[in-house]
Amino acid sequence: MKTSLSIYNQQALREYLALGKHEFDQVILHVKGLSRVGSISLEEVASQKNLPASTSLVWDILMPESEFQEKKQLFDMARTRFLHKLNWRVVDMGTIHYLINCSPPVNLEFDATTGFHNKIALTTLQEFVGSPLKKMILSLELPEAELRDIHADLKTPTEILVLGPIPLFYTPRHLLRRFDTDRALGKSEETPHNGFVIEDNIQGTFMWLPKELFLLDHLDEIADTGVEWVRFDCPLIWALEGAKVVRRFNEGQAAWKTEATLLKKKYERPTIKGFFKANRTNALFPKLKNQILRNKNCQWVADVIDLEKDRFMVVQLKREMKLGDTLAMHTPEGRVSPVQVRFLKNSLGHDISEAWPGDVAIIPHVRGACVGSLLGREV
Amino acid sequence: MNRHINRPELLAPAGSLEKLHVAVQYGADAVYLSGQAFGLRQASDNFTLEELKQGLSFCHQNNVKAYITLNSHFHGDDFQQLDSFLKLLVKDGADALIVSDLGVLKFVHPYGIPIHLSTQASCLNSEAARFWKKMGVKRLIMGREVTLLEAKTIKEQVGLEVELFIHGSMCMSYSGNCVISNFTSGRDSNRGGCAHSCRFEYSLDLRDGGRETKTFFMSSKDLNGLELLPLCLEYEIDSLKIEGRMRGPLYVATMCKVYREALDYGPAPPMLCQNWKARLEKTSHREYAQGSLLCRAGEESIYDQRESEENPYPFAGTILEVVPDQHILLHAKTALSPGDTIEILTFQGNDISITLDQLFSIDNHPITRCRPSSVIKLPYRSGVTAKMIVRKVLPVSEQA
Ligand code: SF4
Repeated sequence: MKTSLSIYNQQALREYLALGKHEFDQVILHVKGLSRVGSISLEEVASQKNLPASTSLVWDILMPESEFQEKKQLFDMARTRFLHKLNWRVVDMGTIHYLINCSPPVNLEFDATTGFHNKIALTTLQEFVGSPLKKMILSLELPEAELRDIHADLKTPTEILVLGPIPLFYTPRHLLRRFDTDRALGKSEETPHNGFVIEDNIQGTFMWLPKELFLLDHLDEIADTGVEWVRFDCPLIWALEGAKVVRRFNEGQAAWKTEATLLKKKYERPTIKGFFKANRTNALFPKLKNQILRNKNCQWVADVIDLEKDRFMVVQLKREMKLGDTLAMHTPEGRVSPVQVRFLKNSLGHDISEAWPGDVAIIPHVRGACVGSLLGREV
Repeated sequence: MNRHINRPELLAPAGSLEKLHVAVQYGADAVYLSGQAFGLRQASDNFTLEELKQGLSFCHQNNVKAYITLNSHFHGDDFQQLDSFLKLLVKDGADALIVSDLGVLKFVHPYGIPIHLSTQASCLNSEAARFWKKMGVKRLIMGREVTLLEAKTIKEQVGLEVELFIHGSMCMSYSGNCVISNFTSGRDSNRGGCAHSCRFEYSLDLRDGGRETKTFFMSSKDLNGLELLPLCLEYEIDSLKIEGRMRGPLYVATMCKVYREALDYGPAPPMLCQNWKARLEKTSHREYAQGSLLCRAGEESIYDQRESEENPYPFAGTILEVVPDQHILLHAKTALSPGDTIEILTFQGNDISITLDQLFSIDNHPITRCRPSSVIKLPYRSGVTAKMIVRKVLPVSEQA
């Protein structure tokens, strides 16, 4: 299993290079102007002679047309001057399209942190980009089983985050500027989570979950899914400890798991496993709407839209109804009672022998009926 | 009136079969709707398969296009039911599919239904547009951060149809890039489960010595592009979309009627614009802004206040039936009493205002107050027809 490290600012880059040896298989540099939260200047990158062989530059902002034209210029300048050999880590489909049409071709890594949750999407992109695609960064929302399924058809190496903040939100609007600050911690009475990290920078406003993702204690299962790379978005001191755990794991030392658990305990922030072990994202959907009635395999004849208890029901017809019909009334709670159309009247109170779709009609009341019940013929 | 041949399509939300009828009758050129899976509005009624068939047929009888949303971010299992659903859509003549996920796009392509790229895909620039064109997309529903001018440029450069949101509530984030609900309440905002966390009040610790403030800092004002319609015409934007599949029939009727008139009229005198604006004010909404249609939305687009529940013009119901010279049958959705004023939104032309002298039950008993969700009789009034939407005008004393 290979490791990658995200570096966001010049200070952190210098600290990393000061280690003297490369503890990670790849470093990911979040550059100023092109990445969401990075501040490393392209000049700084260019001036570093001892960058690891595998270095990737991040261009992950989303760009409406006019910004895109500006950023293209920034990228072109960087590429022609010094950065043509490095990989670019990108999100915007426009960036991908632009990079693969560059000459010479630019190697890229596609970051799908919040989307591309199925293998058809990933393999389609893989096919489209072709050989310049060097890596795919998979979504934080993919559970173990789906990760395994996805890898069955994927040729491109993949990476997931194993330690670091979970991004929740990205807007180009500046939401903290009014408060003369660029960072804040947020909480709301409407959610039990406390301490959302919020940052407002030149690219817009970003928010992260108060708890960070920690999956180092699942390295065996991650490796088993087919994921080849694990990434650290946390500060260097923690990432170094994490990389040590990965090394132990790669060497087959049983202690890796204990060390991972210890690291989790002493980590600077509370952590969660995210979706790796559970797919909770659609658990609530069935509760959002009572669909009992509408989905029944029944030929619906009319809606009950008003009633006078023990006297009559007002119905609006979806299908023809005849005097003497026998129908079944389904209440929204699922109770079913027979309905005999013993009388059928129009809104003038006149007796009629049949009524048609769209008509409003008056029929006998049935005990237990309520507005919203449906009258149908079983099929 | 000046009918523009190349005017943009007016695209309205149809959160249910009832609302689809409303949109069509009040002048939409096209509607967008969802089956019970795959769309992004899991809390709206959406359409059963039978309703979908009826809805498509009603649209086509009225020369209105119907676009089906399949714009959730699919996980592997979500594809299981898709084939049978698509076959049905082919059979029933869906006019386009609204898709955001590349996997879904690839999957649906062979079925031959035109594909519109959902705003969820956040297509923001001409390079992205080229990518999606190569993937088989016919129309781009641009990200909400794209200006009208940029949409025009992209259309000209790439040769795809472009669609923009023109009215309604706005996601604060780049579409498809907010997963707050996913991680805080287990509801996938990209599969229809958004919990609207951006509308919450937050307490912010401003990290400079304990300064704390309570604020709705992530809530966006609503979009209102009415005044920009002449520019939309000039830039030949193909389609203008009204947001709001969760909104009620009154909202759909009001939006469709006003935007229909405004689009058909073209550049209009100030008096008429004022009239349209005043009518839009009669639906409940957050404060309006123009989003990024003219220039990138800034701090002025933040709606930093608690949302008001008060609405001086509530939905009063739908006309069920009109028996000439006899009565009007109203399916009342709010309490009504003699003395109340209602406005009946005609399908075209001036609305009809009526102060109610008397109300009757369906079996002809005078009533002093009807309960919501009841059927009542009103005196006959010419010009009123079935299916018209009615709003109540609250007396000033009851308004906030
Ligand atoms: S919470 Fe707000 S910003 Fe996030 S997806 Fe929902 S509406 Fe959009």
